[in-house]
Amino acid sequence: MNPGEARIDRRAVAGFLTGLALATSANADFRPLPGREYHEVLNATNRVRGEAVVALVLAPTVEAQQADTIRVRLPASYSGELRVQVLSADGRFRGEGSFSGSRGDDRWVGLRLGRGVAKEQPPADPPRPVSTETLALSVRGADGTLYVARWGGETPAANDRGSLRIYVNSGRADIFIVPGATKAVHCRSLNIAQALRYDTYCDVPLADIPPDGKFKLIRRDQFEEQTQTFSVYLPRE
Amino acid sequence: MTTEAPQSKTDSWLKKSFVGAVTVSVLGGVLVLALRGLNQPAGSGTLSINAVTGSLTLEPLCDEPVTWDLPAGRVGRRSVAPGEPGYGTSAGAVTMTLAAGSRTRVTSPEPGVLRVSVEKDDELARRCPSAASPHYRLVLDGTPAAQDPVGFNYENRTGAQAGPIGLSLPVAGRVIIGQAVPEGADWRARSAPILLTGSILRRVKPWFGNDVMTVGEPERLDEGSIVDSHACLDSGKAGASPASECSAAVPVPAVGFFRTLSEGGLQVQLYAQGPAGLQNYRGPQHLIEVPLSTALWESDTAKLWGAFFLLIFACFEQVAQVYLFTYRLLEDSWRRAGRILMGGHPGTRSPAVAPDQPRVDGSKPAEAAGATERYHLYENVKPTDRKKTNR
Repeated sequence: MNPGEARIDRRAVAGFLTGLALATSANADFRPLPGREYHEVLNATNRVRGEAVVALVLAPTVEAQQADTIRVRLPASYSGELRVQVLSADGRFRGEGSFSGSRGDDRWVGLRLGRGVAKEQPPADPPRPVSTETLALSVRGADGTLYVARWGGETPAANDRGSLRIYVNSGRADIFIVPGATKAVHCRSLNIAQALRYDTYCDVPLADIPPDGKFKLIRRDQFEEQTQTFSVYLPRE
Repeated sequence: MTTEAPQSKTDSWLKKSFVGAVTVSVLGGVLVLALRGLNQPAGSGTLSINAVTGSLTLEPLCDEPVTWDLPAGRVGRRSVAPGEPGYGTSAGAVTMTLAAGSRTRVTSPEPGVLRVSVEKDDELARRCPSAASPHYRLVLDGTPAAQDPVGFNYENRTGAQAGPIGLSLPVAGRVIIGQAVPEGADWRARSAPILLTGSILRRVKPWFGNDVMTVGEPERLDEGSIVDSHACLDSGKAGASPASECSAAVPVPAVGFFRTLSEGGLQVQLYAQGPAGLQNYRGPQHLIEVPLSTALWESDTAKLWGAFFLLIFACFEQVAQVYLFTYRLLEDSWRRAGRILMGGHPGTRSPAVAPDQPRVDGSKPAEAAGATERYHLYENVKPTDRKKTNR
């Protein structure tokens, strides 16, 4: 057996195990809503939104972004609808779908996106512009609460030392994030000309996330400052 | 003996086919290369970009720093977190030198207001491996300010303490005019400094000429568009121009200036070699450039030579026949003249020329009466049927 075959075999095994895990835990709990299955479109018309925090993603990687499954961290006994959005910073690419179900024992619920194509829109081509900076994943509850999501089907380890990436629409200004009572951290601007949905991201180490999950965003436009607060549900169970 | 003839015919046909295929391939390759070459940006081509905009972004290229003298204002170090001391300071005179590795955004959202935000970008710095100098330098009232790891903000004083109204500042490097119309995000509303109006003219110096000409229709810039003087610098990024349309040539800095307007906004005049990128609101980016083919097409000398060669090519057979006929006619006249000079009779032929031998059937060769008949005799071509050719 040559190395190429070995690699394929490992992929196949990993895919099988992921599928098995999802089949036994995740998909049994959350299923796509009929008529609102996940689909991806290019050059879509986006609804105007008034959100500074656009997405919360745990340790994104380009490899994981190519996967067809995601995981979302939900509170215990969560039941109801989940709205998934995959969105590019320039607003050109959007994936959208809704799922319904209830959380089981696993804190990280798996969702199989599938790659259905909307009937009224041209299919996305290229399929998914993967980039940890300019492609975000947003999962919201029925009431609009934003939950922490993760690309790929793997469940993060309990002692994961990664970081949480917070995608922010700053309106072309400097953004600082203050996790709890700690020092403000300067967030990073995206290097693209046509930032529409978001233009900044903040990386916060998981260890720095306060127990109550409360963050403060400070926007500094030249010499004028504004503040917003938001919460992240990521309890240390 | 009977099988050799078809075999040699087949061999000959194969040889001819092979030679023909090779010739067509070579000619096709040359044609493709020529077309690709003509599609490259003309070195003598220039895009004249004129725009009224609320914002402008400058990324100086390698070894092309830009220095601005700005009026009195406030300067803030961007790495200083809110609430910490040392963010803002005032200065009567502000001089900033912007070099490769920095990105500067200039906005003028309101009358009399000029804002400048400078930031360091490692990705931009990597384009210039030999750049050792700092990405920017800031001098406040004659004293160099400390470098900030993120960058700094500047805003001029307004009102009675405002500086000159019509401030003109030079730009050189990659220039992006305008910005996207931002979506709301629960922040306090401020005016979005988008591009308002403008146009792009294509100018070229034709081949073998010195006069600069304006070619094509002016490209009108819609409100809310984004113009990028170097669309190919981001060709590897998602959503940018395809790399296949970009050459690997070293980017030439776009040069120009901008002027602050009394009613707010910036008047920009820029000269770029291109390809420049033009992106209308939420539309795809398309490239604007002056290809070599335009420089060739606008050249009167090239047109004349082209017409000449076209004429030769189109009438090759006729020209060749006239050439041969004229050549032989002159040769014949020269020989006759030679014989006269040597004392011979013009009617007798030179000994070097064999006399016409009587034919086997006893008939004599036909005498050529006119020039056309004589020509066909030289060429051993049967005269064409006039009835057929004239119809």
